[in-house]
Amino acid sequence: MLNDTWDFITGLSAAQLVSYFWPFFLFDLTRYVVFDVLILTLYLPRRKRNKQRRAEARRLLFHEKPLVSVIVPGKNEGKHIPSLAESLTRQTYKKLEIVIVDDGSDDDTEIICRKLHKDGKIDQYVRNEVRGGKASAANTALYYSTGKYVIHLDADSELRYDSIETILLPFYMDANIAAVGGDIRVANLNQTMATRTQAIEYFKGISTGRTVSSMLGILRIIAGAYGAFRRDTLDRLGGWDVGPGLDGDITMKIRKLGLKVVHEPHAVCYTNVPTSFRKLARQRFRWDRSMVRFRARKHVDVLMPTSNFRLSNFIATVENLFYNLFLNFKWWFYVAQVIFFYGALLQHIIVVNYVLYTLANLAEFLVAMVLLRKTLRKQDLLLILYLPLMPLYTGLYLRIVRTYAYIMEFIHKASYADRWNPWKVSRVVKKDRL
Amino acid sequence: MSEGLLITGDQNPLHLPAKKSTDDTLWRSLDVGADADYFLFEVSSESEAYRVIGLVRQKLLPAIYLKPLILINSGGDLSKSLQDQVDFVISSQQLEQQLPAKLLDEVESINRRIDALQEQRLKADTNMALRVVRYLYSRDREVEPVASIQNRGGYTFTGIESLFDGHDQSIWQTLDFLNSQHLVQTRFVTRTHQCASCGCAFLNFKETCPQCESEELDADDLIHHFRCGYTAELSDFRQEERLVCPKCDQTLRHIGVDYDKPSMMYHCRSCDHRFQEPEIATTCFDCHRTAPPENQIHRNIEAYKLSMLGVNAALYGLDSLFASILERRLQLLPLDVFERFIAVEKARIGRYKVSHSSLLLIDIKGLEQIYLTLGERTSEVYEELANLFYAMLRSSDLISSRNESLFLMLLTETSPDDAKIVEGRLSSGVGELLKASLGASPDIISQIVNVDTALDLTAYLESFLSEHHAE
Repeated sequence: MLNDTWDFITGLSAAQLVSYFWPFFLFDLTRYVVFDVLILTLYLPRRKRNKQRRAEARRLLFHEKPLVSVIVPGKNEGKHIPSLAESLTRQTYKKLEIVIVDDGSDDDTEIICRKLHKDGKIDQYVRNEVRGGKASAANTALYYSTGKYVIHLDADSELRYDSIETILLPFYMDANIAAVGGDIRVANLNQTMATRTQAIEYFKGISTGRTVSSMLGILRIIAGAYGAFRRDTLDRLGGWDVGPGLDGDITMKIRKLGLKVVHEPHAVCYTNVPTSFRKLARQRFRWDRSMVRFRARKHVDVLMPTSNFRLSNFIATVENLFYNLFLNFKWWFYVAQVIFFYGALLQHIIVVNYVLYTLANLAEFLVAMVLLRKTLRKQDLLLILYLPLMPLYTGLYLRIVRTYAYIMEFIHKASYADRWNPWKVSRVVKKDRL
Repeated sequence: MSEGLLITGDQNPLHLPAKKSTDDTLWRSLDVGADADYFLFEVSSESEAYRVIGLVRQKLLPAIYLKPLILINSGGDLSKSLQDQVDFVISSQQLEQQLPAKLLDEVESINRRIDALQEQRLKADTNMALRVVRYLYSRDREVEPVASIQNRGGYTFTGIESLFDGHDQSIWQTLDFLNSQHLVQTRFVTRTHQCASCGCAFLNFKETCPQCESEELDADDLIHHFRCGYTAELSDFRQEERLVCPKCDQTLRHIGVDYDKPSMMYHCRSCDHRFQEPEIATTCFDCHRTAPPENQIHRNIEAYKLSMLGVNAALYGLDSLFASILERRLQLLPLDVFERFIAVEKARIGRYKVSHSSLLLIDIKGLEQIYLTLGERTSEVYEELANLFYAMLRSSDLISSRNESLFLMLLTETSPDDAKIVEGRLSSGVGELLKASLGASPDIISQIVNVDTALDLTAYLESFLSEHHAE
């Protein structure tokens, strides 16, 4: 059978190659492999050239030593807080203020945090008896924090020892930068197959993907799990709006102010990801719906030629809509096309696509390894063995989840009913079409 | 009605003199009133009433201090506290006519109980605990705590207050003692905080800053505006009469609909610290000492009623407590049963003429004084004494008591010489124990008698008592 496939490939003309595998060659190869490689060949030397500027930024940072607030909003996260507080004491940047906001936890969180607060391990603990949702918890933390920079951190994450220092440096290199995204890596990568595939996905999507977007000035999300903000900017915006997807939302709002947002691939944050494909589907369902809600609805104005128009914002949104929304539906079109017109060649086309996408994944993985080299761990490198699984993961699993999410959001505005927000909030937000 | 008049009649009451009488004349008329069935009195003011009640209830003779008291109300409202301190209140009109039958029934019932006490040939009761026990017995009711700002403990027991001469702490101490001796049964009513240093229940509870202990705090609600997720303190939203969101400029309309208050935040004006859980400090209104609530006394406030042991104590005296402990520990025999055993033993020895038995008498004087000195620890000392007795006696020996302090022991198959050894050990043991507890050597008298046919226990005890109990 493999011989047949080989004959099939060698017998293909260039035109046939494109007509059978156009999604790969026209979109995925160009956008995710060729483009990334090109940009990084520009980025890496530039980062090297910037070494002097980074050293200067570091000197400025440690000279000024601003208070940095690490805010951690969450519900029932008490069990993670002691180790988080402990790990923050090991940061190279020490002038931190840890503010924990407990969004109506119904477990031991209050007991744990009150004790930590009493012992001076955390600086502020605010307990909200009634849950108000992530945005209100983050805003409460913002309200009671005092630092010049505000780092939004998920409770179950762990920072590399120099991470806070690293994430702050861009602020001292460019006064227009108002927010810096941290590089999210998977902490529990060897736990299950689901966590391994996510780890590879994070390397490609976050580490490489966001570095490239940042280079191009079209970065459109700073992860909620780990991002640094200038306080004056957050105060101007009145903090976070109601989610889900509030991290992408606030990034867009910062961009609209004409300020820059960048990604810092060496500011490492390890986070725990869903351990089963079932739980992962639930998480992605939420994330993908918020894409529709925020890009295609709330911030669709960036596409309009108003006085506020900015090309980079336009491109950021178009790129996002195009590659996620449009290409997602294109893929189903491609599946239909193959089945109806090339039905006889189905197995060959599947095998070839599988090989092509595996090779593309390998290329992307290697690019990420080059980009991140000094912050990598040995177990990260071993993920290479799992690359052949990726076409199934991204090509099939994630696509199905995403398609379902988009349809539900477009038709039913399902994100407003998400249990992630308390109903009292969703009700108001839905009514006011926010 | 004239002052100081002894009203004669079926019920034989004593009409106490009214306000103008000096205490001396009152005292005298009380003494002659020992045989009255009840005391009737009429006063012009409540304070006068309290004085009269106090004079009666603080008399030493049970026939007087336990006497039913009837207050004649000549008009006006009486305080609850005053009503609690007398047995009955009647109107002047009622007095003109026949007293209600129900009232007389109750008077009679109280007097029957007092008579039961009298049968024990009681003279002066000087002991406070005993007086309370006897009072509770005669009234056969529960004494309930009453909240009162006149009282440092925050509560008083108006039913028995008049037995005491004004130091309210002694009410608590007496009730605590009675409870520790199981002479009363308690019923939980409520709970108070009292100052750990002076017992005062009037404590000022204050929120303080956990950082600097300042009391100068502001508290503000946190507001969460649902629509935009903005969260800040209420003062940030306040614009004149309205609440307006500083982020989205919307007016907040209804709590729960478009906003809520997820928590509250304290702000210390002195050190600028913000916190949600203030420390609580309590300051005593009396001695001004400040302490956290957990370091103050948390006290159950209870109602008290005599227990069966208490009834026993009312009739036979408090010292029967030691007897009751001995009874449990050593199977203290009733005296009449003990006398039967002596008779049997006499007969046995007289018939076979082979063995000797001895009777050991030990009189521990002032045993009844122990609880006055030791208070709540009395029962511990009694237990130790009982243990001492237990260690000295063999299972074939028998023990009984003549009164609270005189104990009789039949040491079977023991010659007077051997009994001397037991006597020596017991006397020195008891002496040492009481000396260690009381700080002074007690007066212990002991005697040994050979049990033979010539022994007349009753006569012997009478002569022993008349010799050593001169009073």
